[in-house]
Parts: sequence; C-alpha cells; structure tokens
Amino acid sequence: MLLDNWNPFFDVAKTLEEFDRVFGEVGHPIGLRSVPRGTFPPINIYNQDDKAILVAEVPGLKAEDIDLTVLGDSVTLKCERQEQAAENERFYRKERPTGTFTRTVTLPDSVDPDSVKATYNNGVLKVQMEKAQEAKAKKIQVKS
Amino acid sequence: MAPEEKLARRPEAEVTRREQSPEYYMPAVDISETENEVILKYDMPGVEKEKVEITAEKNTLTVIGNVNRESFGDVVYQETKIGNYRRPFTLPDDVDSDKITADMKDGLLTIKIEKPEKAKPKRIEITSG
Repeated sequence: MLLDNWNPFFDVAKTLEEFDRVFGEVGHPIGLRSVPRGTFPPINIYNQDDKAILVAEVPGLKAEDIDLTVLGDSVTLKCERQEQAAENERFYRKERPTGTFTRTVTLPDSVDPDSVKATYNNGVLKVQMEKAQEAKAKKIQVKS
Repeated sequence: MAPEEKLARRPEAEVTRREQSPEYYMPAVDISETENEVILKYDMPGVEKEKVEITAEKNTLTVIGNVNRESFGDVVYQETKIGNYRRPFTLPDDVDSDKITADMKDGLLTIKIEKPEKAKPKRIEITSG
C-alpha cells in the first residue's frame, strides 16, 4: 500500500457505509443510506511509465452502452443503469445505484486519444491510454 | 411477518463474521419481490461466474465472490479497494433450496428464490350465500 496515496477518510467512509447496511432502517424499502457515499461508478486511476490506466466498477451494463470520451488529460465516462421493475415488483432494499451517471476525471498526464483501449469484463471497465508524446519522460544526458 | 420481510430485515450476524474474516467486503444488494419469488441482486464487479460460491444452509444464504487480483501499476487516485465479496442473508424457514436459481453476468449476480406456496398471494373467491 502506498502511504502517500492513502486517503485517511476512505476507510472510515467505507466502514460507515457497511455499518449502514448492517443496521439499516428496518422495514423501509430505502434504507438509511441507499446509495454509497461519494459518487458512482467508483474509479481508480493508475500510473505506469508510459501509460495511464483507469478502472471503473459498474456491473450489469452492456459494453455498447458505455459512453467514454478522452480529451487531453481528461476522461469523461457516461453510462446509464436502469432497472426495469416488473409489474408487481416491490423493493425492500435498494443499495445499488441506478440512473444516469456522468463522471469526468483528470489524469496525471495528457494521453493520446488514438491509443485508448477500453474493455468491459465482469462489470469492470478498464481503459488503457498511452501518454501523449510530450508527456513521456525523456532521459536527459548530463554533460560534464 | 411475511417471509420476504424477514429476509430484508435480518442480515445474518454480519458484525461478528466480519471479525473472523476481515478480508471480505460487503457488496451492494437490492432485494425485491414479485408474486412468486424474491429476487436478490448483488453488485460484484471483477468476479467471474466460476468464482461465485452460493450456499444455502439451514436458514442462511451465503454468497461469496472472489475477484481476480490484477496489478495495474502505481495508484494515482483510488475510490475503491479491490477485494473479495461476502454477504449472507437469513432465509425464512420454509424455503426449499431446490427452488433457488442464480445467474451471473457482467459482475451482477441475480438470485431468485421461489416463495413457498403459502407465501404466494391467493385470490379468494367470494361465494355468496
């Protein structure tokens, strides 16, 4: 675990969210906290030498329903997760976020939009992007 | 109390179990019902179909989903940790475990539990005297 990337409130938020589920309001179709704190879908961004990788967790979609745009160092993800309720369906607990989601995140460096490869497997969207030429680290010769 | 309400009200002793197996996260679950069945939907991204374990034992339905560990490089920004999922629920006494079906696609597990006969709504005919 990288300590410099540790968000001190992350564990607290996640623990509180899990406690909400355990002790959630009884008898109500929508509990104390029916959506996770923060935004959906959760996104992680990783850095490799020449690549940036974005991972978003959003189960239950079809690959063609995901709208992904890359411009410079910014990535916008738009998707819709609608649950069609059957005619006589009643909900007792609704924790999974549904609706339309749009998120824009900033990457550590600019990327080349033509190099973007995105895959959606098991509910995980993985976007691999090559960094733009000018953002790639260049080795500098030290002359004496 | 109707069986479906019992299901929603009493997640099985989650707090003590978490102490024994701290490496599991609880996935988000939707619980709904129709006339004939109770439906549970688990969000378990990163879990393949083969890595899902569902057990129905006595009064408890336990779902475990194991994720593939993948290394993507150095973390720059992290909103979610990667880990295995586990979440049990209490079943009403008279559910037949043969009547439970499960389907896993794109990280979404859908479990359908057929209600025992007496829990299904019945139309009552009025017979006039």
